[in-house]
Amino acid sequence: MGQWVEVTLHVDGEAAEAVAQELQKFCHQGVSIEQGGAMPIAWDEDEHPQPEYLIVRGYYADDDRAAETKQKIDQVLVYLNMMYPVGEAMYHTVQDENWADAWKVHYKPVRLGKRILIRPRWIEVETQPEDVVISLDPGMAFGTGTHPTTQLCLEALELVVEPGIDMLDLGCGSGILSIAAAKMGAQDIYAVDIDPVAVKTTIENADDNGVGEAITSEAGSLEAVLETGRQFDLVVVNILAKIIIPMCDNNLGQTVKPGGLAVFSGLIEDQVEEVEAALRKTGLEPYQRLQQTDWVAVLAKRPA
Amino acid sequence: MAKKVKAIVTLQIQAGKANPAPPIGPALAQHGVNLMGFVKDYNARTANRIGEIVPAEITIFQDGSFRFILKSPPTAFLIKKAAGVPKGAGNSIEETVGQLTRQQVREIAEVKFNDMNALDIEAAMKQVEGTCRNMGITVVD
Repeated sequence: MGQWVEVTLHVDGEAAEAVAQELQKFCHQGVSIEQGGAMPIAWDEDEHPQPEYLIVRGYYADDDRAAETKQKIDQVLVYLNMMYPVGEAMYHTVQDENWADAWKVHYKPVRLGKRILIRPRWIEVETQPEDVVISLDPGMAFGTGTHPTTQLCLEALELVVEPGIDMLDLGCGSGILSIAAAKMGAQDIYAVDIDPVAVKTTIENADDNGVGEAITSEAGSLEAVLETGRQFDLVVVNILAKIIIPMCDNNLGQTVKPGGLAVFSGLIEDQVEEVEAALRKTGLEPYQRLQQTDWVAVLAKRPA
Repeated sequence: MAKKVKAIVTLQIQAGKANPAPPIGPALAQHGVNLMGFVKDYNARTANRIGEIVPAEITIFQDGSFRFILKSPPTAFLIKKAAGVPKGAGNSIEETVGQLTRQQVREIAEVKFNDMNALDIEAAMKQVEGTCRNMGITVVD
């Protein structure tokens, strides 16, 4: 396998494009720009934390022309620095890797609750007859099974799914929760998401797991579900607290049959009381909490 | 789904020609992003723009799932196209390779405005002019 020279610059937002433009001329297929310095561990999509600096990175082959390429890049940076401070490039060699597969090391089979087993599609695992096995290919929809909010929902499903019930999966993402419920015996599952990519992924994943017939997936929001007038034995909502609370003000409770149950996940510990208060306002009675690290899921019922 | 963002990566790459080699491979693999999934989708969505650099901004969620949007081409690419020059100056302090009118600068600033950190179109135009200077392209009234 060959080697690459990785060239990196730490620059501010104004210089990033000029530096990227210059590096692009010398680097293989383009450059990457990432946020650098102290950043939050995670943030909501509509937040825009400002990075301390940007990291512009490119790669060129570590061959007999590498020294010449480095010299050219340094020369260009001298000119750039005369107009705007962009600093100096850092160089180091990296081994070529099988990048097409390297990302897969982030995914391993996960056992949850009593009998749930999530496996990446490319890994075969030994299973027990009673296991609820879900196979997934991580991609462009949330719900790969590695995040606490998804795991808490799956554990909650194990507690509340009865054979033959119908279910609403509001914000279905990859479809992982609907698939698990179908494998536990839920029969008529309506999986909606405002993101059409999620709907497509849910349908594919459901078919791959052999439960496509039990799951209907459509692009839609809470409003669209309310318009159908349908009510469900079980409603599962794995969205963030700041979305669940306004949904409660918008008759979320009406989607649950009298006597039915609901699971809410995506809540941080200190948001739980506020969410539970909102649930009560929409006619639901919280009765149990599940917790993993600082993430919490709340189980609730609608009085008969 | 309870999506929380863990990283945002911008790839400034050739339309329709993405492959798992650097910089795409190392930039995305470290975050557990399904690399071939991205490559196929990017190439499909940029297939009709071969020859252009079409940056992709990839939002990566905590569980490794992702989504991406295509951004406008880099300012320098738009400048070269508008000025009709194949490349910018090697040393822009000593060399001039072309010119743009202020109206052309405005048009480029309008295309780039949403992707720029600029408060108004005047500020965006200043940034475009900066890139022009850097490339050895003079701006005339």
